[in-house]
Amino acid sequence: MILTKEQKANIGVLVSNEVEYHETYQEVYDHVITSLEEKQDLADLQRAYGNILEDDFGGHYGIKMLEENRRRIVRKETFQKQKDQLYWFFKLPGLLVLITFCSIYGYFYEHQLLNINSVFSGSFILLTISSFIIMSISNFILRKKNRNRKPSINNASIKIMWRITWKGYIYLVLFRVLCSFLYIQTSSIFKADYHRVFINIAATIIDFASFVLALYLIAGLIVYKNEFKKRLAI
Amino acid sequence: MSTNPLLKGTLQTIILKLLEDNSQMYGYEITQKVKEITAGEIKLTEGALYPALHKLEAEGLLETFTEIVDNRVRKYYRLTEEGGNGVASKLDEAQAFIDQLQLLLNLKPTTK
Repeated sequence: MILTKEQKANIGVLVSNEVEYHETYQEVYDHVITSLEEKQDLADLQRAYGNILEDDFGGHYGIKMLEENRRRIVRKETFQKQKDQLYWFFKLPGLLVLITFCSIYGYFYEHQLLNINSVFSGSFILLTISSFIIMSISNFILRKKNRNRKPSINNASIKIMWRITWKGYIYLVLFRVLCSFLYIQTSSIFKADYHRVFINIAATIIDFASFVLALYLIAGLIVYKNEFKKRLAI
Repeated sequence: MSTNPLLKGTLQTIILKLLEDNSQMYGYEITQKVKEITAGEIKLTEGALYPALHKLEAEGLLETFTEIVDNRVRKYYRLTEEGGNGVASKLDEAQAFIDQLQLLLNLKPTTK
């Protein structure tokens, strides 16, 4: 049986109310319409839709499970891409970039040129802020382009990726504050030499963590750039 | 018609084999093909089919493309090169499993 435009639109609304993501919408909508069109008699469209949803997808719970499953797969896929991107820095030619950066940093630090720690911290903050701006602008563009669509399933994993970055950033700041606090509080108890060791260890940990976080952020940005291009092309 | 839980372990092999035979298929088409081949004895639920398709896609064994059919988007699945190469080994695996089951359960192959 051929469905009218109005009937298809009604099914579209019903499916849209049932699913969370655009990708699921497309697949379930096509499935339901194809299945309905193969039926000979459609006295009650809504009931027929309900039956398909129940029998084929396991109802509301089945759809939720389907989306949860897909979300898990996409999340795993995104993290894998980010991990691969991160490994790029530890293989040629990425390793050369990393060695060059570390050598410049080491040279500046050794020769007390500029205030390399401030430059490093500044660059890290700048990277975080600029990535936040890039993300916000690209999200705005995608939302504007797809304003009549449900969100993409990839959004969930991208959000988690950014949440990890922000959490890492917050923990880093908290660790820095804690170190400064301990440094001030214990200055009268311990000898100056011990204090110097303490501050050096803390600074090394902070620098290393910031560096790893910066690489993670850059890897995330590259993954997001590819995802953004793909979604813009759809 | 059954939605056999025993199917779960062989679902990926079934999908790969169907796609090898039919080059490209969409979700609903796969369920109908299985129903047709088994004369309605086995019914694949979409709740099981789509996660399996998505998993195969994530593993790089399948790739997808979309086509506009009657003003709606239809997502087709087809084998990647890696997927094509993997079908034979999956079938061998399934065959070996069936042989072992026959030994274990003392089943005799039935002829219809």
